[in-house]
Amino acid sequence: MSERQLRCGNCGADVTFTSPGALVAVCGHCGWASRRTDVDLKTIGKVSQVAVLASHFQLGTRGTFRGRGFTVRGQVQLDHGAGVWNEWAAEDDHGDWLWIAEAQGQLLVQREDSAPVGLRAENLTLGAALRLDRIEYRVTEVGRGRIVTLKGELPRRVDPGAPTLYADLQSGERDVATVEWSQDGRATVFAGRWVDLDDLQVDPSTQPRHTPPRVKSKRLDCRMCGAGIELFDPEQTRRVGCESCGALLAPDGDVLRVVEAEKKGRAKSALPLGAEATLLGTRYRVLGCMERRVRSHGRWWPWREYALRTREGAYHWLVESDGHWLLGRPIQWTAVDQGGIGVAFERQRFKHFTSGKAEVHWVVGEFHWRVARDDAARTKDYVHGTRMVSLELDDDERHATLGEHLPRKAVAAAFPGVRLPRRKGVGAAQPNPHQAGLVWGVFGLLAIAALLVRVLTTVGHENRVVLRESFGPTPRSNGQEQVDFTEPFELTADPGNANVQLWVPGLEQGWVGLNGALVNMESGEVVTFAASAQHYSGTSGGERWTEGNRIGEAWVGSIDAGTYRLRLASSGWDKGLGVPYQVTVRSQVPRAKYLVVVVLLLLAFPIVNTVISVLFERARWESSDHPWGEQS
Amino acid sequence: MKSLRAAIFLAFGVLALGVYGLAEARGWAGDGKRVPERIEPSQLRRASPGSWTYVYWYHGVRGK
Repeated sequence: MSERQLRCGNCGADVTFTSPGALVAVCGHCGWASRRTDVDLKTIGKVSQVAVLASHFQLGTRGTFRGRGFTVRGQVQLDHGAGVWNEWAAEDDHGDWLWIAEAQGQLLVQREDSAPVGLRAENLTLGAALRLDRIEYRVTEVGRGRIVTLKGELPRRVDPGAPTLYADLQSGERDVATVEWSQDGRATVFAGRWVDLDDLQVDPSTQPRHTPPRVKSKRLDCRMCGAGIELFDPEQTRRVGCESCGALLAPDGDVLRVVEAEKKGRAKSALPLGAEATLLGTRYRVLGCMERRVRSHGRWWPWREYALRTREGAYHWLVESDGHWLLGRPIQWTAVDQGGIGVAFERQRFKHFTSGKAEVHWVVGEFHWRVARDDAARTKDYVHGTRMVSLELDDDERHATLGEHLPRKAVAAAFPGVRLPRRKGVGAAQPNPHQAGLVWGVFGLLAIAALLVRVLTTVGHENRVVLRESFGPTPRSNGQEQVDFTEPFELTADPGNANVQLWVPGLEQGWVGLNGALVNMESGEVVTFAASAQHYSGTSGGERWTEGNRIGEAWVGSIDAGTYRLRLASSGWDKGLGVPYQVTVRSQVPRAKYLVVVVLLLLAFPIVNTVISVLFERARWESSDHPWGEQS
Repeated sequence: MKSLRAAIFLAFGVLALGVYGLAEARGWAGDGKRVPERIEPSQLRRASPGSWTYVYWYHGVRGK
């Protein structure tokens, strides 16, 4: 590494350039930034002290990214209107520079890329496409910002305080590019991707001692009502809603400047502002609460959004609507595939739930952007199971948020002693406790088991004809009975059933009834049964019809093994004549009726479950843009 | 909730299958009726072939 020392153009102190690639350095003695020329330094101007922000880096921090070691040499602090953040200029082993941005708890690594010829700001409107190095990006944010201050060495010229025009672009889930236009219209492109801290393999011995340092709270007074307001995120807070008077304030040094006066109608956060809580394994601090609402069908539909900050500085949302809770985190706009029906994210397809123009009704607590009452944005919500993708568009920005349903119990446990709003209806991403998939699965298993029982009984049962005998004819006149006894027969199952079949093959226009008794010839035990057959036929309207059955049957159950006879008392009538009949006894016959009854019994459970589940879903979609009955 | 419900259903189903298997194994029919076993001696004297009393008398058991 070839170090070079030049004299500061302001104070004459030595300014060290450790890298030949560094163009700008800040004098450690007087705080003036200077630009290196071939021979000396040209002063750029005085820069202010950098703000102490929670960071994983400092000048000199070393790490490895994609196999190349790097050393952090410079720091820039920028503000695009949503709070100051750090960008670290790091030089790698090959003398190339990369920029590591720390924004809202996330890390972005970018390299300066060549800007397409003629890239003009007016061409990059919201949603416009730009292809850079084979990646197709979409513009998700355009705006104006400024470089607040800088420190150390930088590989490019920067002008502290000068306004810049920028466009943020995204592609897929992690690719990000930024285009900045300087005052002279020159475009600079930075392209890279979101990374995890582990991807940078930072040497812990070179990190700041406290990583990230504890953010101290700050106590200020409301200029409107004098109430004390504690700021838990003073470095990033841009707007503060006073809980006492409802005034909207802006931190300005050690005072809170009034942006909007108090508003009638008391705003109230259900969760205590400043409280710390653990939700889905992440520790959060509740910073602020805003009520937003959409107007539909002649009325306002409000919900509350709680701004949460993680210890790493990321901002998430806890959303409460009618007592239902969602924990939301930002995702890349371009990670949401908006082609086709609904949207897709992480290979899941989300169904459209609601759309509307959401406006801010009231705010209390801290917010890291310049929120204002009546701020409006177009919103679209999509649901898949317990997840919700929310897309939000305003004139300059596009935001995508992924929400995860939080059970009320989890919120109550995270905020003990807090009285939560009562739950009404069914939440958009509330899990359906009646989903019948598992129950249907169990039914399938049970049905297979029932079939198995049936197969086993079919194979294992004797199902044998033990008697077949003909009798008759039956008495000719009504009211008379003819009693007959069969030959003895053996029943060997102990115990088992017996199926008695009555067959009257010659029956034409009448009936035969049989009052039977199965008589055990050893014990004398008697079991009675009855069977009948009837058959009628005729012609009606030129069509022949028949009804009834020439076969009747009866079942006798739990019979001990032994020798039996049947006592048969028959009666019948067929066009005034008696008819002969045949009786067949089968021993130990499997009963199909039992299988049917069991399957129907089992079927009732999942069917009822499914009906309840459908009613639950119906209640869920009632509050959407697609209530049941109106869905296409 | 869903798992609990499925577990209850599974338990109910196993019970129903058990009853089904038992009904098949024991030959339960449900529609056979047993006649009274006690026969008075006077009835026996009036017994005629084909009557219930005759059935009992014929087989030499119950009530004699």
